[in-house]
Amino acid sequence: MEHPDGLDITRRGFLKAGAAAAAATAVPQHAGARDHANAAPPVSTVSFMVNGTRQTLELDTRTTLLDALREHLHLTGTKKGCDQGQCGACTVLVGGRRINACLSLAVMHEGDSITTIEGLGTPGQLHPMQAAFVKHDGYQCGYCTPGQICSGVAVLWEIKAGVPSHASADIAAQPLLSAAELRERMSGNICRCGAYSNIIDAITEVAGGQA
Amino acid sequence: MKAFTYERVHSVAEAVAAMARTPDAKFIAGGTNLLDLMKLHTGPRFLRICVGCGRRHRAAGR
Repeated sequence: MEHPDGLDITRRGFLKAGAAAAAATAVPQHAGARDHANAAPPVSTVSFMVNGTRQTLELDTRTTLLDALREHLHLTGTKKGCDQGQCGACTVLVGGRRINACLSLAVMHEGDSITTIEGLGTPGQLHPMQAAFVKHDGYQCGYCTPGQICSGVAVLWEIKAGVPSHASADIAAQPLLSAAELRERMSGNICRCGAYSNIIDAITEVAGGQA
Repeated sequence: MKAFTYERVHSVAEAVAAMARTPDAKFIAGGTNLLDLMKLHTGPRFLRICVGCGRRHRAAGR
């Protein structure tokens, strides 16, 4: 298309040229960063099951399990909140137990079986904990919700398995399904919208107690 | 985070031998504190994990 002032340029051509220029400027910076580190970073191969599917990844050893799930496997249901183990947004299940995926290296999970929020249920077939969160409005913005739900599932397993908490009066006795127990056990999952009471209602219902 | 190499060992003896080879290595175990510090660029150059110890710890929890 001939431009009125003589410049033969299209919008698409302009954007493509812009992107190329941006890439050209980005490359030297990246190379500079590599030089600073003095060598290519060590890489490791790790193989684990994620939501029932075998995954084999070649990763920089520094990659956390959280980044492997989100950036490499594109399972973005697991959220990155603080990235230092304080908020619980990245909670996933490894062998049925909950962990903060941000405080775990992916290479530490060779042979492990990992379940993320995507593996618990689907929109058409919700996990009972997911359904209970919807029913009881156990969220507001929803950012902490995948972690809350994974944590909730593991909490019920922990209680069933007799794992005591700080709120247990007798650590040798079977833990109660009380609100105090649930609040203590869910204290690693922060909800800045403050949906805590509804979250406790949802977990209590799944546990078969009175909501 | 500083780059590091990761080595997995399968027994206490292997862990001790590996540690003797690389004195500035650290055991990561669960990793919650070490990994935090490494994100602040204060971590070691090498990491090792003792799988034998980890599995026993897990079994005790179950």
